[in-house]
Amino acid sequence: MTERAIVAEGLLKRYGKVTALRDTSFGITKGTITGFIGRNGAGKTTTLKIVATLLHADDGSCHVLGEDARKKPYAIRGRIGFLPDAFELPATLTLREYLGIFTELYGIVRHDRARRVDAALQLTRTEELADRRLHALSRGEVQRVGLARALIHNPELLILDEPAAGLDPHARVELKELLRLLRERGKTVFLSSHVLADLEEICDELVVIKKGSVIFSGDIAGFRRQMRSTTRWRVTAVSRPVTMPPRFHGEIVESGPNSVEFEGNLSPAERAQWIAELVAKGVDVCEMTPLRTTLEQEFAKAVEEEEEVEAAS
Amino acid sequence: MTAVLRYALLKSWRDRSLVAFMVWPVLSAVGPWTAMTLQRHVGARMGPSPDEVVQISGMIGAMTGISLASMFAFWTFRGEVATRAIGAFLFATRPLTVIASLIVFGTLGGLASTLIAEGTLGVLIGGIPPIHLGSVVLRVVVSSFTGAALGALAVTISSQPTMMIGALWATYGILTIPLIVKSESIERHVATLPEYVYFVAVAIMATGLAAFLLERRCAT
Repeated sequence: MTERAIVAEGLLKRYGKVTALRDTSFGITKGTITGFIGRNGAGKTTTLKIVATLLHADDGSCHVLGEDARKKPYAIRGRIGFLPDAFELPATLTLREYLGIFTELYGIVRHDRARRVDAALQLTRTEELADRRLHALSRGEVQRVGLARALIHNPELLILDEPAAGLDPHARVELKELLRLLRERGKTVFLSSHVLADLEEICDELVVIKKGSVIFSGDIAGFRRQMRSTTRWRVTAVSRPVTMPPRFHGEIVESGPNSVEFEGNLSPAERAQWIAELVAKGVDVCEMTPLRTTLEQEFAKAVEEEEEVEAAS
Repeated sequence: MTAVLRYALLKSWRDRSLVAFMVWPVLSAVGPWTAMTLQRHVGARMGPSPDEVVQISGMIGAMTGISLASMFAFWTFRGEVATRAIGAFLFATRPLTVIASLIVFGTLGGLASTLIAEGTLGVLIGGIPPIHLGSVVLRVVVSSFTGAALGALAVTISSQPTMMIGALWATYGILTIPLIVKSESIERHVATLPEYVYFVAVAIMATGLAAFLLERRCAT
């Protein structure tokens, strides 16, 4: 049985008359990177704050690393690293001083503190910032400093709220590399992001939230299955037009002089049959490529479907 | 606690707020002393005696030092509270530790600035100011502790800079209640044990409430 780092059941959170979360349940497997997606105002930050024990749910339960978030918040906080979506750094301190203070706060023994600071600097590639005061940093540098602070005590679980927001492509690549490295070291990462292409690249699992309710929790393949995701296939010939056997379920979404794009689920046998029939007809087939739908498209589809269901009811 | 104190000290030293705050009680004490001394030198024979001048100036310095304890506690983490950056501390330590450290920092600031102000007066008069140092230190420590707790409470209620006025008024209000009850002037007043207990009790309540509010603020 897979061990769970986070188990949230039936979370309810209200801010006055506004219900931010309703019956929100999901689980995060230990040692995985899990993406948390939803539109602005869907309840992502509220959920992350409940998991990070900064906020209490009005109802429901949340267990983090086996501890009840409501009953033992301080026991949990020492074992997690949390990076909020926006945070400030003390402009007059150097990074080394700043991290040094946190090693002391986390109760790391004196002789181990410098080593921990160096390890965090190395891991987040902030060595060049170590002796610089924390002002006039770029957004990417601020994020890396925040990550170094969140990792200084070697937490088991890392909760990141929009860590890729405002990062340039190079910084995003570095962030993804760092998250993969953390997973290799057995850490669990739970992160929200609007950059769904990045999530698709690095995440093992997904939690999709819409208007305070989780509409999916599981692996990405499961999300695609739930969305009854179809694959788009492009069949290209060198010179002759490509035709499609009429028995296949799906539709031609684009057609060129010597190529077609077909959307539908084709088994390997059906694909082989199609190619064989084309070749038998003398069509010089040179390519049959699957063009997968992106996570972004799946997410948009999921949200649209939910809205249609709501409108119908 | 030492980590939070180190952070507060480094930060306030580097942004120069520590020096700016420390100079204030010295100026508050030296200013009236200089004015009254000059007045006597230019021929005015009325008014307080030289000893009384030093005593009044010393008292103003001590009052300013106590006010400063409240301001220190309010100002030191004001930015961190306003931006919720203080939340990072709450993952490493408890809110009560953060607040207690802030109060200790404010109290030490208040005491240090009072002692610097009294010391400066001593240098100017060429001797020890006519005060009972032990009782002054005890009063300043307890009053600064209460003032710092109220300053910490004020910043957790609202980190708007104008709230510092609220912190100062609360400090003056709490500290002058015994004088009002006894109908005594501040010069004649001698603090009693129940008064110290009252000041410490107010400080403890303010500390608890500030810790609770700090946790709440970080959740929003």
